[in-house]
Amino acid sequence: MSTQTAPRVVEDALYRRLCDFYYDEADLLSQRQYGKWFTLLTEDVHYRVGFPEFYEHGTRRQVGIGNPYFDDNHISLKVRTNLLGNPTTTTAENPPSIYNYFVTNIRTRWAADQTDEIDVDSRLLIYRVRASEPVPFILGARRKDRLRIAGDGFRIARRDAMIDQSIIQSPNMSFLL
Amino acid sequence: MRIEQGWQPSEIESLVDVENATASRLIFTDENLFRLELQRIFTRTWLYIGHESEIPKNGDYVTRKMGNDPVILVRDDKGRVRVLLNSCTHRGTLVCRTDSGHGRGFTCPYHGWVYSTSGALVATAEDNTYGGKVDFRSLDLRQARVGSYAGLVFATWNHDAPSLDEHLGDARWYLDIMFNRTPKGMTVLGLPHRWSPTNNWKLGPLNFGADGPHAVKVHGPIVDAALAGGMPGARAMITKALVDSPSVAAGPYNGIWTQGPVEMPPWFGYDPDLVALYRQTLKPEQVQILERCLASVGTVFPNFSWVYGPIGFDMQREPVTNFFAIRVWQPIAVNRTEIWNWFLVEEEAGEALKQQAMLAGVRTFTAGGTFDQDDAEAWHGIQRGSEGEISRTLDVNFQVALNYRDRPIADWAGPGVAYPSNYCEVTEFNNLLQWRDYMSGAR
Repeated sequence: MSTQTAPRVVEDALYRRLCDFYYDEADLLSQRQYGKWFTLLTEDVHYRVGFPEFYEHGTRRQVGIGNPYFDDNHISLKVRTNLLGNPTTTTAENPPSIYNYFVTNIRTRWAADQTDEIDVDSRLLIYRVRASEPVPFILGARRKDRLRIAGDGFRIARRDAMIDQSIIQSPNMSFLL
Repeated sequence: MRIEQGWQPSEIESLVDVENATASRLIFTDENLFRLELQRIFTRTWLYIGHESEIPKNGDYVTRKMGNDPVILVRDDKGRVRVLLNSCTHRGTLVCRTDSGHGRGFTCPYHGWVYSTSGALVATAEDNTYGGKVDFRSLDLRQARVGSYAGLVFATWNHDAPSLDEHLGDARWYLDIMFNRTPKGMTVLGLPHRWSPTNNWKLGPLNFGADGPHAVKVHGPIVDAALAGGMPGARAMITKALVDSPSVAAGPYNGIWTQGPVEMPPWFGYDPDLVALYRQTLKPEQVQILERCLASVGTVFPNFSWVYGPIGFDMQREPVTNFFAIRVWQPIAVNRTEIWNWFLVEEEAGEALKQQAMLAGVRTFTAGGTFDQDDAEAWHGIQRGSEGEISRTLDVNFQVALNYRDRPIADWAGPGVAYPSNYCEVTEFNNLLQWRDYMSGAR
């Protein structure tokens, strides 16, 4: 007889709080409040943003160890958020771009391996207009996050994101996902 | 020579003012010149295609570009590296529509024509229907001429061009310092990142040829935070280093070798096992250039560049590691480029160092990298500030070169010519002199 208990369901009230967390995060990123966004991360955070590759069915092969667009920890994200968050330390974002982060398709489940952690999948649509480029840049992405309960709220312990463009249709990605 | 699209050779020559170290902004904004570049430069010289470590096994392939032609870089079933025009000889469709893969050949998606990994036509839809009236050997995939140096695979459509070795010439001594400094050479860390600056392709090669002062203005903040581990006074130190360090011109290569101050210990942050390999593989003069190198940035004309230097986001808690990015600036339109960008590390590096090298690379030189993202804005501005009726009648100015071009370093240990400052603009401008030679038909 299996001793495995049924997976814990994320109840409605908790799901609503998680959605609020994600909408609040989307607001922070839309407003480029990187200092405040940084406080949402755990000290052991691992933040990664990969990109797709096209293979014919059955022919995929690994080239090198793999290089995502972002692979950051708490230390490097502190440097990044300091630079992006201060108008005197960024050329790309001074004047700051207009950002609108749409976070959708939020799915949540308790982590199988930690009692105080929650897995959250979401999708992102980032809509950006730069001062020097009125044509909007639109980027789709998917995130797989591991949140850790922290007091009344949550912190992001791990983010594995994947952008949906193989050749990025923008001169830079001077933002975080 | 043929007069094409309204540009006479003498008119093209006058676009780059050798005497005054200036050039017309039309070279960045004129559509006809862009079309001529695709013809006169990109069909005629050696272009970087990929690294041998991307196709290690027979049957491995990746898809690339030569100018605006799609090509397949493949290691055939005998181990020979080939560059095949990615266009079926039947009706022209792309034979391979993926980024990379492995196989025993290529099958066209339209009528099922099959080609071997060496590009030979193996089968049409139904060979008998040709009734013997067609020589199938004339329908093999078109091939470029391939050359490889230090793991770098180049190709050209010009069968009259000198060999790659002859073409690179003195550049090889400098390529060796970056790509050939251990017995097994470099290896790529993954498939390339690709993104789309909205400016003419030449701005990148010029900047990497290399532009000293922008490093202080545009990259000042990240330099303060993290170059060589973010040591105090980094910006002042790096400014002095840039002003006083050598720029080099050697064959089709131009670049800088920024030297750290003598107080900085040599091989700061390096793996001692790798340093031992450098010493046994490189000449002493090459070792001397590398051991205190804060930045090596260079361009091999027309559009292959690299950038290398030590980075560390927290000297107390993380090792200082060198980032090493190589890139191709692909000409898409007169005002649009795609940067294709790879990260390299020594094949002999241990797993931990390979990981650190990857992190150093992706955190600095890629679309969201702390260095690249700001350059994009300056370059986009150049395009917008040069396209107008009035603005395109102005010049781009490299006149610091007037002060340096007649003062090469007298006792420089390497081949080619060296100048005593990364601010000299001579080596940047040299890319436009090569451009002028190809475009006017002098070369």
